[in-house]
Amino acid sequence: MKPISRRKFGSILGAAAIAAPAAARAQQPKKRPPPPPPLPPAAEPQVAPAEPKEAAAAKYGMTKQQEEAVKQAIERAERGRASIRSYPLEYSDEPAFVFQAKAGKESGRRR
Amino acid sequence: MLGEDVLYLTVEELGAQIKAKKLSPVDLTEGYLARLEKFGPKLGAVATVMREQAMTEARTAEVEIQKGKYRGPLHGIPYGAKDLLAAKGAPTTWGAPPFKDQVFDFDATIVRRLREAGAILVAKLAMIELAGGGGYSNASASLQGASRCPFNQEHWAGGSSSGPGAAVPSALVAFAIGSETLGSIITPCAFSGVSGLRPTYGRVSRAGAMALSWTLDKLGPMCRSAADCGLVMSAIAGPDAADPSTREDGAWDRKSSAVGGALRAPGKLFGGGKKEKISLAGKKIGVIRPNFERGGEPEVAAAYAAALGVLQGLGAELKDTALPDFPYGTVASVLIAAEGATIFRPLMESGKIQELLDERQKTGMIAALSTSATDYLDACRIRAKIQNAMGGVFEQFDAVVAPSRNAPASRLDADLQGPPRPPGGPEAAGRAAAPPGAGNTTALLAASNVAGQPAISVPCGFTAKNLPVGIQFVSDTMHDDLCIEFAAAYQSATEWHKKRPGL
Repeated sequence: MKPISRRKFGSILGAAAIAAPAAARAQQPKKRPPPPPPLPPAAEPQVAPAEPKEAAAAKYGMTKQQEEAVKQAIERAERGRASIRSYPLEYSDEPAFVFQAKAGKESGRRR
Repeated sequence: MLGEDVLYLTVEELGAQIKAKKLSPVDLTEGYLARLEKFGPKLGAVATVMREQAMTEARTAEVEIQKGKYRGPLHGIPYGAKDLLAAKGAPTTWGAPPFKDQVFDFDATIVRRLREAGAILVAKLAMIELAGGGGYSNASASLQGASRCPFNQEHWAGGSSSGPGAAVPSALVAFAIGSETLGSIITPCAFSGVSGLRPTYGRVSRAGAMALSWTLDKLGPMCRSAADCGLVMSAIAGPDAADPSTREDGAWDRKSSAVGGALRAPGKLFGGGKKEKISLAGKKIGVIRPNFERGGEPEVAAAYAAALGVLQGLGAELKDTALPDFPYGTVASVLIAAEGATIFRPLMESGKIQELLDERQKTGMIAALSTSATDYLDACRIRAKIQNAMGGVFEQFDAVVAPSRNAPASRLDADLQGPPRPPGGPEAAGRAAAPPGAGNTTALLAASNVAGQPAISVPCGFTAKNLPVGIQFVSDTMHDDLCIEFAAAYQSATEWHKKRPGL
């Protein structure tokens, strides 16, 4: 069997995740979906990743020039990150760090 | 009052005189304090002069040595610390206005270890604010103002360890401690004519140091000779429970690190009269040849070529090589952006980020918040491949050399960031925390930092404008001693590291 890259696996999984509910919906009689339940009030405005400019401007007290500079910096960074995302990684390529389980400072069961 | 000649001696030479009771630590400390107070502000080198505490420690050292309690080669030696290292009771500003009144009630591990070795902290030294975490566009991005290259004060000392860069070659201290995330030791060493070691990641504890990137930050010695770096490492290296990144096998055995035994006999190289050249026969050096036409200066190319000739003359076998193909700079950028963003998020959310001096620093940090977890983890995965590939380079070579920087120090008023570089290429070193300068950051700098490998930069020439040029030696993980051996051998055949600035 030809080995599959982790990225390819992810994309297949993602496509399957989208396709499966769609297929299920197609087999069900059409009915109006119930309204979503109201969201609990947030303690403070959350920064939505999709709206970094507006949210960040409010949160960090930026001037218009700074907003523009942040936008440009994100665009530059995005071009760099694209090269990271397109880098061929295999399923077996694990990150360069290892989590080690160890007794915490507060643990009463330390060996 | 001690003469200038004494203050320009290496740590090795000063230590030998102190041990022999020919030199008083009190006189030596007073001599450096006087120079710090006279030249420190002019060079933009100093954050805080520690006069009172330093003199107390010097008197203690003197009494101990007189009584025969000699602690070792750093006993009675005055030094400076980049102002991101906590020193109990002293301001630790991180070079940034929001932290100008910050005082810790403990010593960084490295400060404590140096104190235990008998070294005397005479000054906290200037730095680029927050070690340039978000990137920076000018040399004045520091609470202490721009640090000047002592050899040509119209030019920058380099960053972000800018104060150590200015202070060491002008003999304001005997040595200094700097830090590097992505070039902050190597760059000021190159720009200011310093011999400095960036140790293997995890070899020197960072407990009590400002964090910029937990997985990239290193602390290391900046000295007036390569051999001195080994002496300082013998005091600062080793595991520390307060820094989980430190290696159990990180301690430094000075006696086992030697070139043909030459470094095993202090005084033989530099302090004991006739200097002997150290042979590099049988040693293999991989040579990186940057494309200077893409971003570099011919004078650096010429100095580098001459340095290669010296290494060949010492018997080393030189062979051109190239680094494995990876997006080194981008990986480093993503690591620093993600880690720095979480470290400095409280600063951003407090609104105090607006007190920073450099606009690029502010906006770069805020932009870094957009780094996704998956991008960070992908960078970590590529990093593992880089580690393996860079380790493979040293199956062929004992060391790899390249210019420390492809161009000399920029002018004080230069836009350090320059035009945007092409994304993702090997030269697109991290904009965050990378010492800026269009196209002159070598891929080796980013590659070896990402891989956690050690490097040393030593001066290998001067331009017509009296600006230093540096050569870097990189070796495999935990072979810091090899870096020092190669650089010490080079310095046994050259005099560049002995050149003094005309202050």
